[in-house]
Amino acid sequence: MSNLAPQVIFIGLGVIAVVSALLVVVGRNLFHAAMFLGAYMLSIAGFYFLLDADLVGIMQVFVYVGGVIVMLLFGVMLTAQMTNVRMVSAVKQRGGTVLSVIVLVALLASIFKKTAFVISQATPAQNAISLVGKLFMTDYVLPFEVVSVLLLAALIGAIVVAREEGRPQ
Amino acid sequence: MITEIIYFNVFVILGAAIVAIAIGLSKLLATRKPSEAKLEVYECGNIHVTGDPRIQFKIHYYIFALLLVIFDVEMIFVFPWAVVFKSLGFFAFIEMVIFIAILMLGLFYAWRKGVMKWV
Repeated sequence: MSNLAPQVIFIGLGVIAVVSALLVVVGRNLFHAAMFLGAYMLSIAGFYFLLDADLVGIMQVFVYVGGVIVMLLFGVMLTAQMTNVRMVSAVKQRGGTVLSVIVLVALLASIFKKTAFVISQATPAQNAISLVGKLFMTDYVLPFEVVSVLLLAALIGAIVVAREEGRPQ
Repeated sequence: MITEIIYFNVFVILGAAIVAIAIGLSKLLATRKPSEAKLEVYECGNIHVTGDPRIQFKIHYYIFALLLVIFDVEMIFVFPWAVVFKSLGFFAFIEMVIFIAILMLGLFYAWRKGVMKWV
């Protein structure tokens, strides 16, 4: 039970990830593609939770599914005549696509075969979130505060760029 | 690990069950007598809805999406702090006040620039 269940969950998540990733690429509707990208990112979050990486999983859900996907959907909806367009990918590119996919898979497979994977013996940290919180408040105070300055810069930069370009006539 | 898997399964089953019950019950209990008026698109105040429902939104709204992403990332940093807040005491509180104050500067900047205006 204890060995089988994580594997079942892993395979299930893997199937969801691969299928939704494929649907992102194959789909003809941009809105649906963005939704399937969200499903894909959720399944990746599932992998993080499966690996006991709670904080990274939460980050994935909040930032990617909650933030980036919303931004993507806004981008799709803001673009005129975009949601209803059924995109037709050029059939001419099929040969090149197949070729590049084959090359990519062959390269990845050769790298995969050559690499000697080391499995760490260390047990994953329990309560990673509170551990991170403690470290933020003790050893890494300065980086923590610098992050807020970085976010401030990103915020102001985003406003400046979006306002100048998006100002309605 | 096993207890977590049990939790996981309980959540999966519960989640699926809630959706199945909600949709299934309404399918089972609802009477269906469609008429022309019932099948019309619901729109508050409008009698006859015309045109394409998918219109181009104002580009202005994109800034809200950008702000959402920024404050999403901020929340990620607040979250671990909130978990251990009690055991860290006053110093941690001051740190978080500084952290949020710096970000509030950005919010005030957005406010001053008129980004928050609902147009």
